[in-house]
Amino acid sequence: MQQKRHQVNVVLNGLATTLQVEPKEKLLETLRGMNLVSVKDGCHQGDCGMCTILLDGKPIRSCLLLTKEMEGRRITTVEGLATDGQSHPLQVAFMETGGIQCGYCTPAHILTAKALLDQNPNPTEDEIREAMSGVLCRCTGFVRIIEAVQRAAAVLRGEEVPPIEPIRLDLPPDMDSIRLPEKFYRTEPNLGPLPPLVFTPTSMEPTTHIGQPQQKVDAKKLAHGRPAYTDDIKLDGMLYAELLTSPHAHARIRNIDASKARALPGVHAVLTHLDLPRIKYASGGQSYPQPLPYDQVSLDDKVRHVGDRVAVVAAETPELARKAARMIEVEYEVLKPVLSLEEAMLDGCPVIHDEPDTEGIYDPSRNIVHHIEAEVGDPDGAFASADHVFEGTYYTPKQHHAQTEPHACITWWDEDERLVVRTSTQVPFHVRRIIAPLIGLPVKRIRVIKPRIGGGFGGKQEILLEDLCAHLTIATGRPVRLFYDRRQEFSSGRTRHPHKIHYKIGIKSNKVVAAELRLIGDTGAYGSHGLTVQMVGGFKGLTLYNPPNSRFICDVVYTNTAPAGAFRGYGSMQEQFGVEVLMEEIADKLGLEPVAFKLDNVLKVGEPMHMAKKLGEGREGYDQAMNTSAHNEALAIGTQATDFYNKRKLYSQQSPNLVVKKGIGFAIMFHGSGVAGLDMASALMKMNDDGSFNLMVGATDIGTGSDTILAQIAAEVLDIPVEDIIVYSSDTDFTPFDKGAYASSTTYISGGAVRKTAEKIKKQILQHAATMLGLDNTDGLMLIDRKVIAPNGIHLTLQDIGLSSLHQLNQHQIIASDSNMSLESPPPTAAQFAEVSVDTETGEIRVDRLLMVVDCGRVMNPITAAGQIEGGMAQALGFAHSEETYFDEAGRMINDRLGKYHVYKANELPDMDVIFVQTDEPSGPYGAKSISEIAIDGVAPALVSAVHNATGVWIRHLPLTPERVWRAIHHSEQ
Amino acid sequence: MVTFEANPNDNNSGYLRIAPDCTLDQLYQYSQCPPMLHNTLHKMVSWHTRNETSIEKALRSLHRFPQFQACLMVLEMTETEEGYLLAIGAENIRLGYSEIRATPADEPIVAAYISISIEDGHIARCRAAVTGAHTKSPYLLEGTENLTGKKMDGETRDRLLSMVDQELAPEADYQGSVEYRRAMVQVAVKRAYQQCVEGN
Repeated sequence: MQQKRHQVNVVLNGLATTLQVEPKEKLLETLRGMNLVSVKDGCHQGDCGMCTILLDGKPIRSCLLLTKEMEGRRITTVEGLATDGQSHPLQVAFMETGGIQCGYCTPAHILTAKALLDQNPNPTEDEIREAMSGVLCRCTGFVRIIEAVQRAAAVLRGEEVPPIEPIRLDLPPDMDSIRLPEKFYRTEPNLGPLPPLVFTPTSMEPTTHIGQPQQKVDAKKLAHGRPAYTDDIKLDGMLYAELLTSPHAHARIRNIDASKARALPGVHAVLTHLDLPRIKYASGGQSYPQPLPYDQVSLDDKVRHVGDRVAVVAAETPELARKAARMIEVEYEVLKPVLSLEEAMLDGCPVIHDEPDTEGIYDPSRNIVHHIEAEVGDPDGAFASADHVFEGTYYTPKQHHAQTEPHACITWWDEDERLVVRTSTQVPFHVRRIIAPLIGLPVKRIRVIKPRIGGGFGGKQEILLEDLCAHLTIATGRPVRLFYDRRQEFSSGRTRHPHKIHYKIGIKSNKVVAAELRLIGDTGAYGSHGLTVQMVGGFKGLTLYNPPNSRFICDVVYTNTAPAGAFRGYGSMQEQFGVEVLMEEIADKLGLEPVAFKLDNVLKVGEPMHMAKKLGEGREGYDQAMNTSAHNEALAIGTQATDFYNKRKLYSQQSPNLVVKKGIGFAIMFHGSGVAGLDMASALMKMNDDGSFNLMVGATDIGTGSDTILAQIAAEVLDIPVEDIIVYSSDTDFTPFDKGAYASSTTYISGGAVRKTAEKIKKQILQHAATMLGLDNTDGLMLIDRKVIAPNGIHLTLQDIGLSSLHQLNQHQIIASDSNMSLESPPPTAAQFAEVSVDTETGEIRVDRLLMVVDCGRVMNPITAAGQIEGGMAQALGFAHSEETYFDEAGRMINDRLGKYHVYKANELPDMDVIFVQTDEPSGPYGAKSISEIAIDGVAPALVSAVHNATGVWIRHLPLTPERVWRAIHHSEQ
Repeated sequence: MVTFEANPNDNNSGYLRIAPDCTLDQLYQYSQCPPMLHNTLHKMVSWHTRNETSIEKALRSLHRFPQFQACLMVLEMTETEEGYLLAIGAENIRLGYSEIRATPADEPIVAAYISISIEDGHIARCRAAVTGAHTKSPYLLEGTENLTGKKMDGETRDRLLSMVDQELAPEADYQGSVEYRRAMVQVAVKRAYQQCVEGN
């Protein structure tokens, strides 16, 4: 029975508007249906704030409002903010400060800020944070968002605002003579966000376009909420898909009857395991050949976690699709689930992958998907001769990406009968290659497009929706849209691998001479990135201190939980947590000063990384040695900025009667830049009539700003402004190959490809200019500021050259492409500091400050780079302090909504500061290394270090919940 | 939405009249919103949520806003034909609260709210409510009438804590075990009581 539609009169963005809506229609749907796509769907549960609109001037979440109840109300979306095409000062401020990364939360933040400034033109930082706490952000850590609101407030009050610039200082050769700007000592409260501080060695060559706080090339469209994301389009005849998932953690599907669902009018397809060929694959988006096992099929007759795929429906409306999914009758034979990594390997434990057609599982009977062993030197001998041997066991949680944009995919046939896959992915080329055999199409008949993505962090380095969406388009002939809701993100997405980490370290004469790492990684129901995450963890975990005698023993196990996959940090984060804490425990036990002890033992420039060849990513690696490092400088600067040594001593002497105790801690970290010998990127550039350029890159900007950085690199080579470069990325038809956004590779690998390509373009420009000038060669010609200048002073503009080369003289397209890969993976290095207050009666921790001093090689763009560090620290704070996945005894996640899975909000994040120490990496483009993952590696061990300084206890199990801290304190008191 | 009626002899005390469709934010922003009540709408409840939620909806919610409800129990807000009535500002009323949470803006694991009215230096009336420490949350302690006539001293505090231990039956969940909740409700009540002793 068709429901009666309601007529609702509202004022929408200043215009009187009449809406015709269904009785149960939410305002979010209504607005997006009117193409006001700035209003985003993040959770549909009122937890995330992405759907924020202003209702009569107040920020409210539109997913909670029934449109029929909006009679007479005034509704504002970000589309209504700009006046006569001019951006609102808030939009300008967000663009300028770097308050926009992926941009998915940006409209919601801008509207909230507008409402705040309308009622309070001069808010304090606390008031801004309080106002913003209703909208999550997973990318920025809120630092630049706060700065944006403060800046916009000043502009609206008629005040002058300075340009956005980092603070730049020379790095003195003598670390003792370093002095920081006063604010970085944070001796005064309420200083607000600080600009990034960049130290540069005087020997480093200056650059013109690189190193500038260039506004992101996509900032404006994101600030204006223009259609930019996967789900921001609607195609004619598009069907809506719904996934039926398993309510059981472990079960066989004995019978599945979709007849009633198929009979429902408006349902165009229902697919189950009975309808699709059984083609094995692995969902982890990695290079060819993906590591075994290929333990998945698109739809299976066994389910292995709550949320596992059972069937998929395509229907005329989302509501019909959901209704049809509920009508599918499934008879399960429920099996006992395995929910912990310890339990998984026990004899007699239920076997999760008992299917005969999966190859490459190490020991299916004990749920061990991989067993990895690697050894260098003589660890047993070294332990035997060591002065001391220390051991420790550490646990890290199953963390969710919680990116603000859920997984989304739309597939359709184009006019040439090629399948187009528009998807929120970090790995478009891997998607194309991996789904081809699943859907029975050759790669050449598939095009994958990645639009803007609302965050990934590794969760979208996976083939999660694309095959199902494609199957439905093939079955129906129609475009199909599949969009995860937030519950599905938790139950049917990916997570970080929880680890049980056991380190053994041998010390001789205060030097680390041997190390053993025994690791159990829980990969959940499917293998995905199970091999590579653990291998990277082993490599990084045993290389930070790089003893010549090392052993790695690892089991990767299946459990009946949501699969683990790639997550920023990728094993390195977990293992560096363990080793950093143990190293400080060792220093404590030996009475050594921990900073000096760690610095004395940390990997040094020129040292061969002993485990590099044994533990590549999924296969044998390559010999590696670090060319550049700034651990020494980072520690010197960070200890000064935090007054570390004085506070450390003071806090260790606090009265035992004090209830709230302060502590300060630190950690040192390193990471990598791309996967040595594996990652490859390419770029293509062509010149236009007006002297501008198209830069096509396969590199995947997931909010990190890589499109901007790559444009800056090209701009540096050609000495042109970034706005003369039009970047188009991540379309398998139009952009050359790039393996995608992971392994911190984009600046280093993709940037190298762009540099090489731009150099070729430069050569062609100079050659054509020489021809135009009647010169025999290009000697003495210089390309400066959009002109080619001859030694005699005659110059040609790039427009002159563009027009000439295309239309007039020796007509040809100035065009070039190149690729880049590296057998090196130069590590960024850093030191992390944390200051805390611990309530010893309750175990509550309040984090007062986080500071990271980081060497990422040359800083390509200080604003986007600082944003990566700030956002990484916030995400790491969740890993260390507040985020954990809890299951009931049946394997159902208990805290499967953003309200209960606690991601740090704006009004509780500490002061977070970033200081860069530049180094000049010889193998990187203009000296660059990487930045995305080093950002996340240090907070957890620094926090544990700080808690120990405050309380005297070591806590080895993350996250540091109040109860864990309380038990540790009270156990030690007893 | 919120209006204040002062007592004839004391401009600082009186009643807040709150309309049922008054939003939580209107109450939060009201200058005379009692600090303890204001706190239950701060940090853990976002501005968005305060705009979206009426007082009536917050009071009738079974699972959300337990701290807000607990605070109003203790403040003895009453329902009238027109809405709600909340006495504020009386000089002889001492208020105290304590919340224990994982992060500064997370929902408390355990919280305690206490209101004590004093006459001639002795407790005339004591109301205490806790969240996170009983199957019923918020939970209004039943035995506080036994504190009537007592001095606000350590003995009374210990009596209160003993009462808490006997009455409460926390349930474990992912945020805290039974043992932890039992221990924390003691800490929270102790701290809230201490605030009442010190006067706020």
